[in-house]
Amino acid sequence: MNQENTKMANQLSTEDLERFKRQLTLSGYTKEHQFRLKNSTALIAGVGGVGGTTALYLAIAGIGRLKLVHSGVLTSSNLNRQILMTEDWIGKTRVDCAKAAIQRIASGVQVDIYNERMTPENSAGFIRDADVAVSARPNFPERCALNNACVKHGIPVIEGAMFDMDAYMFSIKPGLTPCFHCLFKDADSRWQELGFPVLGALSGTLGCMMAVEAIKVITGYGKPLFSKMLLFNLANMEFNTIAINRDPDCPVCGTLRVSTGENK
Amino acid sequence: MSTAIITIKLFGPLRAKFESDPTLPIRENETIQTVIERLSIEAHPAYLYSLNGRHAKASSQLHDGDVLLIIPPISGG
Repeated sequence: MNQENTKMANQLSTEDLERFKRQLTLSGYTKEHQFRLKNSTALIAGVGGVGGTTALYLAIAGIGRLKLVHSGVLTSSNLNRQILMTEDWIGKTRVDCAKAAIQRIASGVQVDIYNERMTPENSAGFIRDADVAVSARPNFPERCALNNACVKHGIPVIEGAMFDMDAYMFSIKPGLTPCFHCLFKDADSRWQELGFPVLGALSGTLGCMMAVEAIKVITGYGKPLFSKMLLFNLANMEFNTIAINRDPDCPVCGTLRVSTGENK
Repeated sequence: MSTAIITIKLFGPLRAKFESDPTLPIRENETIQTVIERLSIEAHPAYLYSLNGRHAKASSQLHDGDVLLIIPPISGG
């Protein structure tokens, strides 16, 4: 560890060192990684079954700040998967319940909440001070708005979605890897935002895996899913990883080029 | 001469069209696009294709033993 890294690691408090001592013994995971996490902000677009789980696991891993964006109120039918929600909150805004749940478990995390949808107009503002964005909204227009803003401003994105017992995920490093638009050029107008079948344990599994990806992208630990897509089906317990390519004619990221980053 | 056969893996909403991953004898100059038409899958410009684990285009030609994965966009969160 060089002098600067030693200085950073020393800024972890005694409480931090005790609270996170079990993950600080992970192979290759150092105090420097933990310090980076502590000083990072993740934008979570969607605190449902996927994004809510991601937010929870980022919080208990020691991220410094979460920005939660999700519009709407809690309904009974959300409770089979949205792990941050509680029965007594039905009829109230979900981001408030998500913040309360996270801060009961990890009171040191700063949680900023926005009862809004991601739009082309507001997305840049949400991601401006984020180190990573997590894409977990149940519709294509919001995923596209987040993708386009993140590509424009160079913010990495953890993209993940599920349907029934299937899920996929990949990580986007703008200018280096395919963006959402490179892979899925047109939103599918047949998609019903509130109609997809979902088992909470599956959306939670995906959310946990996206939290691991976000931690890797933030800290430099491990190898993120750059230019690869992980697909899994939990009915059959099948896992596949495929290579994915940038579209040189992509209107969102096609002209963007960046030098190879440390996480490649 | 033995018949050339490919295996097709469907993902997400497409999976319900078949009870298991279908295998399909292929014709000469068969492409992903022509296979989709033979399976009566409603093609969509947003579909992602993977051939033997690599990103492929609808115009990609198919060969004996290929594994084709057809991935529609999904957005459950």
